[in-house]
Amino acid sequence: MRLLLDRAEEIVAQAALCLIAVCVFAQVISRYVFSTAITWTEELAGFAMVWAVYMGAAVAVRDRFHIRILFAVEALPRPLALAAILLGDLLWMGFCTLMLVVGWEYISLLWQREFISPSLGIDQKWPQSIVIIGYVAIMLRAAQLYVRWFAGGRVGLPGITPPSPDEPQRAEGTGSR
Amino acid sequence: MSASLIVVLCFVGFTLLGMPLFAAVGLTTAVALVLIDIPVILLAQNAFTALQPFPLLTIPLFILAGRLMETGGMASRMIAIAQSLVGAYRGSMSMVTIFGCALFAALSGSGPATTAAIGSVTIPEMVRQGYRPRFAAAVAASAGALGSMIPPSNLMIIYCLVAEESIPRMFLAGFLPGISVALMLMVTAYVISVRRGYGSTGDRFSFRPLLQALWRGKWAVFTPVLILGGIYGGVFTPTEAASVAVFYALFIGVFVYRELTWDRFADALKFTALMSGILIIIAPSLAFGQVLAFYDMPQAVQAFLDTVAANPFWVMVIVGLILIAVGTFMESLAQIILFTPIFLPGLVAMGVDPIVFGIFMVMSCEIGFLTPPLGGNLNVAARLTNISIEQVSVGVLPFILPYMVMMLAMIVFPEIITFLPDLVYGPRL
Repeated sequence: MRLLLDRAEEIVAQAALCLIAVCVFAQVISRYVFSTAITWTEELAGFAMVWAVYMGAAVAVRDRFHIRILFAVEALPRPLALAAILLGDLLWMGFCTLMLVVGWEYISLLWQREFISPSLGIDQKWPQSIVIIGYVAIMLRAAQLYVRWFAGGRVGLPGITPPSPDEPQRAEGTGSR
Repeated sequence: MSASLIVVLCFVGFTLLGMPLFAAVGLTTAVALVLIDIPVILLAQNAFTALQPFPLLTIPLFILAGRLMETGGMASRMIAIAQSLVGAYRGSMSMVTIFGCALFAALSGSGPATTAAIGSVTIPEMVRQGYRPRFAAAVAASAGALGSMIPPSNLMIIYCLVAEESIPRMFLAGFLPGISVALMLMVTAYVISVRRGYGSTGDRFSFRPLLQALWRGKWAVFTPVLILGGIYGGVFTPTEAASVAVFYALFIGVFVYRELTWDRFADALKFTALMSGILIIIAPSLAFGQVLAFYDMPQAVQAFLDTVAANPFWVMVIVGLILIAVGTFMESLAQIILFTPIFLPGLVAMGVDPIVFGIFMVMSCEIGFLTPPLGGNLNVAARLTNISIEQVSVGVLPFILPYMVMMLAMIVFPEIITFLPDLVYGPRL
């Protein structure tokens, strides 16, 4: 159960990625093998993409993978650096809250009238709810980083210094270029 | 204080505080919206629709395919081919790295991924042969940047989405500049190796080992043929090609090379999930780009460029310098999304081909990969070598020169870029 909670977004993101690959590939296969064009795969793959991105973004918070410019903060003495990171994270959480508020407003608009997606025929509010789910997950993961930092004896900077020295600061690769 | 200035200061301030970049861009966009009384709900709508376009799916698919090819045994066969081709010269391992990266770049759309795929094998080998570690890391980092220039390329896909250009045309345009840079990098590595006496001269070049390596790596060599041939033969779209690449890599890795295990597959998916998570920055960046239009930013930039230089050559030089400067600290996806709408209209008015500017932009991002504080390839190479980023960034300096030379060459002879696309698709009207 704990393992599942730890990796919930990861599993959803992985599933969504598989769905993208299968949908797009199915499109090729159906065109050349069965000589018919399926149209709903494109839309489904597009939805899966958005899900993969938001769930992946939450995983990236957990693994401290998001791109941050730290040279200015790291040049500061520790108390100031800590203050800067705290302020930055407060602003970050403020942005997430803002996204939740406007996201909710937007979903409520969709709720008032049914918006049916053109080819799958499902109500747009269900796929679109990922924006809310995603930002909630991002905030929870950010909070988790702070809890771990506090429990780990407040070493370094929260959400930036890795908890144990053998863990790499960032997983392999930086940025999606 | 003008509204534009507040927006710029917000962005710089948020970024320097160490906020994750997507949140910094997002919050700046919110401020920009509030300042000119546009409902902030635009951000919510954009948060979904910006990530949905079909061409965008190409990026995670190519990332996944590249990872599967790397762990499924294709990268090592590419290196074997490179070794049989350029193994005979002094400093051969560094040239093998560059050549291997150029080959792998034809399967992969990403710079850091190419550095990781080839460098993880060749860097330890170079260090074992007595190359200075920072040189070994610098070679892999600089050649890995070819991943975004030799098609397919994730950065080009983003550019095409923003500039509404054709992806196949853009891919073709990257070929000649990519190969030219690869050659210049090899010359640079050769000169340094000769002066420092790195490595020994290997066996003299002969056709037999090359043919053997090609035969053993035939499935890997076939990949670019399949991907690019499929796109240019009109068999499938770039996005579909990427999905074909995923399943091809799976098939070869599992059934032919038998090196792809379940764990490696799950790991590749996890890696792709993390990389997709970073794409979240596309949503606020696109919204920011739209808002900037209300701030007359492109006009202001054009007016500025007009006053500093009337000559297109100098305008391009200045734009290039700005882009390189920005690229040192800006995430490259965000750089393309934010700066394309600012510069492109003015440059097109001056007669610059959007494809030329796109390649120019991608090239400046590549230099950004190689410069601190935010240099994706430097991070990867430093970790593979176990040295500090500072050391790699010193070692990489001579290898940045070829990229600079190429940018200058592209300004003077834009035909390097337009020749292939014009040949295949006919000149642009």
